[in-house]
Amino acid sequence: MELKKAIKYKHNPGGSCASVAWSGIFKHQGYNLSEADIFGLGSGLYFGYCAVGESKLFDISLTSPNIVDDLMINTGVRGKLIQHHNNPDCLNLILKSIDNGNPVALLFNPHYCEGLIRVTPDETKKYLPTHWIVVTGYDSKAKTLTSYDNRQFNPIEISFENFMAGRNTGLFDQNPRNFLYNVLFFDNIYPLETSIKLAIQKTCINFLDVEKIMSFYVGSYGFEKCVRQIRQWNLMLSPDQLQQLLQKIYISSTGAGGIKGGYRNLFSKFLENSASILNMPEMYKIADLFKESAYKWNLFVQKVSEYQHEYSELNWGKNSELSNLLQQIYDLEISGFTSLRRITK
Amino acid sequence: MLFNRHSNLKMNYSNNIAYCISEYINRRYNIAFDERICYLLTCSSGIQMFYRDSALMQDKSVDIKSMDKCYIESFNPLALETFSTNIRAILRIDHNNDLNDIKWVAYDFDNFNSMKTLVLVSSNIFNDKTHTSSHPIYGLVHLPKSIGVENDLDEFRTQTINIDFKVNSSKKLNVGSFCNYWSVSGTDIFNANRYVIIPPKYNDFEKVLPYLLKNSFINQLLIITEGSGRVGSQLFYNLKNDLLNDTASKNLLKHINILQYSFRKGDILGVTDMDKGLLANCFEYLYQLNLIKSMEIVDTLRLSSRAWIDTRDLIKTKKKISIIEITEIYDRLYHYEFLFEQHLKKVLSEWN
Repeated sequence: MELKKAIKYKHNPGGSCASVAWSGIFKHQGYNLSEADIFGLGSGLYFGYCAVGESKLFDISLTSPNIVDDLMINTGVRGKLIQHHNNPDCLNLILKSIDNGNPVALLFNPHYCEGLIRVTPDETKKYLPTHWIVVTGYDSKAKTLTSYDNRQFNPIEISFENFMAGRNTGLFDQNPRNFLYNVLFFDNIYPLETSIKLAIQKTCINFLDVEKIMSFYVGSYGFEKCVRQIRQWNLMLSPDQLQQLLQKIYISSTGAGGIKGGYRNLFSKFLENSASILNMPEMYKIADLFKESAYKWNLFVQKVSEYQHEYSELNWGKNSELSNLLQQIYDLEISGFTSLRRITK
Repeated sequence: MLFNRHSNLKMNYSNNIAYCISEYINRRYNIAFDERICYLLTCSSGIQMFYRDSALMQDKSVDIKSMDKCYIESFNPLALETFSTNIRAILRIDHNNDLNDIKWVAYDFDNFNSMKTLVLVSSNIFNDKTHTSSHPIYGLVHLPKSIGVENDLDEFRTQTINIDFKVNSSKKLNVGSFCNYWSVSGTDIFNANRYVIIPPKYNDFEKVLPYLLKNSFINQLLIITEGSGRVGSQLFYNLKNDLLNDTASKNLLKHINILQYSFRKGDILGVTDMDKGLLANCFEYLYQLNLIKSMEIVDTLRLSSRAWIDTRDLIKTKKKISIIEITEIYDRLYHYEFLFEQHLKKVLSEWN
């Protein structure tokens, strides 16, 4: 290990922490893939609706839980997720990787991400999920690491101590448990045309064919269920519970406030880029559908935000507005995915 | 019909990872998932050359000088990950410590209707005396109900653990010995002690299957055509060229070593033909399901299986092997790999 090491790393801030982190890693390897490209190639677009009636557990998820694994398999990068249970050993591996000139994308407990915590209201911090950052340097004398967070331009210094704590502490959904991808880039990733088609097909399968995974109702099936049930939430939940649910949905659908349009803007941009790579002009029209969907998602999130802050008995009856908006989004997205499947067959 | 699993199949061919995934999903989720479909979705049917100590690594060059520590096989080091993304499942890995992980094994079997746990162990578990390195082998394990999660590891150590590797291949040994082959560190492929696969529920699995298979075949073709020169038919083409350029016969022994090691490695789980016979069964199954139109790919794979078995017989029985013999082997293997790749492309084009 050297005393001090800093990798020359180009960081482009953005809204989706996983996509920004892996875009930086791919760019470092010479592949000019934007945040939107990474999001699309990782089949990141998703709709999941969790509804467990007995325990009154509800949730909405707009990004795929498999985005990084899908990204690796779709692009041909060999990445194997490894869990380390020894904090110092894991830190040493990261330092070794930096010594070899490779920045490391890794999951972090959100409570140790200063920037993220600063902009998140106290009452919603508990809903923040694990957060992707990129570590690009270290100073072994000062015992600090240099890292990049998706929404900030400037690098952040983290002490070794905080880093190790941030890698292996916290509640279940916030503890990265020292998971680390062992990544191996070859000379070339797969031809981009094929990777794009693979990624789109997988996104379509999630939306059109999968009904349920774990406790989440997925894609069109999830939408239909959610549109119906969202009207009933105020009958099934107490005002407090409903307020907490809306807070949770706000965090998951905005990437803790960093993403607009329920990630649909990113997907739309990916489709536009793909349309020119695949020479498929009809894909631009589909990209427009998702742009419209993004606009509706913005309205949806706005309503969610209003309802959670401006509590009154009247507001709880307004869930039908959310339901109507969701129905409109569903109509746009089902049309988008059906067309996408047809043209990328 | 898709869900018949092993019932209508003479399981003279069975594959380690496909068997484990198929059995795991069947037992845990009560979804009968045919081993042949699982095999196709893992994209493990292409020939690749790997380093003995690192299945993730591939050298950029195909220089025989660097092949000393290599071997050939039809293994996808990311088979579990590939399967999971192809089927749209969630894959979770866990590597806590031996005690906690062994307790999970006991807990799962005790509490969840005799569910077996998917694990990864070293091939050295077979007391391999053939000097092969430690290779990853998947297994489905369970512990007898008599031992519970409240016990400590010392109490577990003397218990017998049952491990199934594939059809007609299982092993029993005590937990203490099992742990020696379990948490293997130092190689890039042993990434966890336990795996959890959560498959999705589809609205119509038979309808979506062609899409899943298509994605898998595209992925498989990419693996064997877009890698370095150490994959698919390119590998044998390059190996043969190396032999032809080696006028002083300096490298002949290295070529023989690579083949010898590859077959020794295959012998650990009784694979004699690089799973080409199994792959032929898989495509025959697709033909029966009317998912492919022609048996050409099946016929090619049966011939490829024969070629690998002949090669194995020659390498294992003949004391002196000439350059001409090895060249002929490479020619034959190249021919069938190339044909397989062409047939796979044809299958894909038929689905468009």
